[in-house]
Amino acid sequence: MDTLDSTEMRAFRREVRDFVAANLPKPLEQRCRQGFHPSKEDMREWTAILHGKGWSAPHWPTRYGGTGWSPLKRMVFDIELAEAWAPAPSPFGLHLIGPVIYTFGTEQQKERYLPRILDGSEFWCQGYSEPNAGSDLASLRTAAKREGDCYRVNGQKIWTSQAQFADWIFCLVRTDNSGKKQNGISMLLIDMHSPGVTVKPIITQDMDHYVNEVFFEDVRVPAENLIGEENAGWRYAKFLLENERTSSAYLPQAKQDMKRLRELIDRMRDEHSEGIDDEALDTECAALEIEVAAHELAIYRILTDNASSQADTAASMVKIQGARLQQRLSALWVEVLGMHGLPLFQPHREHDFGDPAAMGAMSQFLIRRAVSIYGGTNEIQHGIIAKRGLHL
Amino acid sequence: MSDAMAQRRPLALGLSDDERQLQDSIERFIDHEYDLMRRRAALAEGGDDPALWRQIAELGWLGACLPETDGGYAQSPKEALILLEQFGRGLVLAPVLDAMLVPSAILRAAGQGEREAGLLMAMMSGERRLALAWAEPGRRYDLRPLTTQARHDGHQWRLQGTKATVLGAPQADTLLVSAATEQGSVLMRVPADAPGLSMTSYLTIGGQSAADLFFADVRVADDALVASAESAGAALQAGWDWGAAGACAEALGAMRAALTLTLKYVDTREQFSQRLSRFQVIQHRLAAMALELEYSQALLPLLTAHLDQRGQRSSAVIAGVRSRISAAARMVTGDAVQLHGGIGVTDEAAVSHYFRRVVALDQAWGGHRFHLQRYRQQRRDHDLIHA
Ligand SMILES: Cc1cc2nc3c(=O)[nH]c(=O)nc-3n(C[C@H](O)[C@H](O)[C@H](O)COP(=O)(O)OP(=O)(O)OC[C@H]3O[C@@H](n4cnc5c(N)ncnc54)[C@H](O)[C@@H]3O)c2cc1C
Repeated sequence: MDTLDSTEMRAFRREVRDFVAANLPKPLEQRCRQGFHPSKEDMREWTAILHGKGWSAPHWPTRYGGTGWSPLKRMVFDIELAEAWAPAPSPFGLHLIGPVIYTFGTEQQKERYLPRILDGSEFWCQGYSEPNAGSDLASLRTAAKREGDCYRVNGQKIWTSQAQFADWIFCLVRTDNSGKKQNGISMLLIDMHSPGVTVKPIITQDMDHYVNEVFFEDVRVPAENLIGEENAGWRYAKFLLENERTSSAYLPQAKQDMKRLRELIDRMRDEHSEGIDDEALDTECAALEIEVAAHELAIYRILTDNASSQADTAASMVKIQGARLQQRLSALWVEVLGMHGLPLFQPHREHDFGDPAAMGAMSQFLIRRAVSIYGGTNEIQHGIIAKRGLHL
Repeated sequence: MSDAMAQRRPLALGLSDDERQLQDSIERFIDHEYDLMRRRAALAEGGDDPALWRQIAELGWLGACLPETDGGYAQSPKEALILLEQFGRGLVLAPVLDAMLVPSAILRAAGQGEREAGLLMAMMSGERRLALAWAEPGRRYDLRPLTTQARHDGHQWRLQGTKATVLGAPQADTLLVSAATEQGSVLMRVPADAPGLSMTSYLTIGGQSAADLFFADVRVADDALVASAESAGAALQAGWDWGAAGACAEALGAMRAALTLTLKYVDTREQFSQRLSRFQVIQHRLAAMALELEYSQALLPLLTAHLDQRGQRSSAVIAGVRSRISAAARMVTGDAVQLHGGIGVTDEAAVSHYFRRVVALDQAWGGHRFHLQRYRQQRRDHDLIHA
């Protein structure tokens, strides 16, 4: 039976903490503490450092560069990193396409792609959603037509995170229109630098640029970039989701937020006792501490439950709850800041005025409205629980 | 009952003919002359649209917001709330609350109406704008000044300290500044171009401009004192009550518009081969939003009845109403974003502007939890309407 309290686990935590303390560059730590999104350079740098220690992809099988740790130990690892203000690496290579490649890919694909995901040198993005295929993903229409040893790709993706700097995109494309929608979809790996690929930014309500439209106009993709079999893409897409049941639940981030919030409240209380003396804030903060603990244990249940008959529904539950926590924690963060919460970044960024922890607060609060939308909306997740869990 | 009546205006349910006329004309103006493009243009200019401000003044709406005692022609606070509600609906970026209503409420409560008659006239004609500088770094919604200090040196007042996130400060010609003195808190009138006063300006997420103010031995004459230690607390509270209440009216308009937009959107967007509006989950969510809107609207007359009424009870009622409306506005605009899906969180979508505006209105004047707490502390009895 797994436990959090063994001597081994404690020693492991200490080892991780010491490693981060010794190796996380100060500017990265500082930006993470203040709540900024990690930049491409931050992610690259930190992934390379973790890779040096053999820790960049703990969840991968050891023969591809993973660690062989248990799921619980991996989660403990992620929490330690987050609580030590390490930036989260880009998930698209390490968490999403990496496992698909080592499970379904050819030897050639494994050799070509995995090492560069592992050391952080290549970035990936996920090309699933389209203007008319959001929640109803299977309606996607971006078409790939086989022509000799190539596919010719035409169509449009939308909401593609990090496409502006990704080297590769893993795309769901339509290769057959004849039968059931799900059965005519394939997964292709497309070089973002190919002729015919255009990326257009979309600015989100925090006035930042994470998401994009990606257009494909007669893009030629070598047939060897197909994952597995043609028309079996839906299966790989489902595998990809199921493989990472708990990473979309944002537990490490929730724990990091809680820590940040506590530190902020304590500091404000030390410096200016009166404004922060607010029972209503304390009550919400206390309620959130309890919520985070429940979330943590719900996730540990998933990670340690071998029977896992209820696995998809539990995954949907922690996705919903994780999104709520992301939103409630950032709302409280902004609320604690009072008037300092009102600007997006300035003037704190330029003039170091107000609380330094204020800097990324409002922008985080705003972008986190998307957490209950991407990766399957809260409504869709509730539908999954009702259908697959409650058999309604 | 009679006690309560003495403490507030009679509750006026619905609109009078004059009020309806005012509302109609503002509505028409917005529908014909204002849109998201114009808002975007103002945002690009640092959150200011001086031509719009002149236009609003010429239409007489600034005068319509102030009571006759101030030289305006409002019968009650309702006219101002009508204007704010419509501006909320239209996402109109104009500092009616920050530059006009809050400062004038303070002058009124401080008994300066007569002395400042000229200033009030210039405000109504759109020539002059004020801004209230009350917040201090790290002290949230604590109204008592601490880090901004004023000292009288025998000839003049000398101000030292900082103020955080003063809404509308970059466009104001005059600032009302709260400051700590040995005798207690006071309010001072400080010209925006006073030597020693510097500011850092920026945009807030609600689209308004704001600034942090730095006072380095700023000197002002004796007559700059707007409220002495005896009256400053109550005057500041009166201004804050207006801020909190006015923000509710604006949020109400924003909620209504966000709901309307969402209804339209779900009726055109299709997923799974049907319109989103066919999904019962979505229907129920929209129904719940409509309920929140209705209940927020229902509470509005209590604000009209209690604004400008001195006393803790009125402040408590305003706080109670504010906590309810603020929570509803966050819920309704938040759900409106959610029901739009990905497009909802983009800067391009009008619905995200409504959400951001509502969040900013909540943040600027204390949110629902803060006001619930204030209500709890200051309430006198269990009935907000009949006492
Ligand atoms: C910041 C951000 C980053 C993203 N990153 C990526 C990415 O990297 N790659 C990628 O492929 N996609 C990405 N997405 C897209 C995301 O997965 C989609 O936005 C999501 O699937 C919802 O689709 P939609 O936006 O089309 O909304 P819609 O599907 O149109 O949904 C609109 C509303 O209707 C509701 N709804 C829809 N169907 C039903 C139903 N059957 N029952 C009840 N309610 C329903 C939804 O819950 C939602 O509230 C991202 C989105 C955002 C906002």
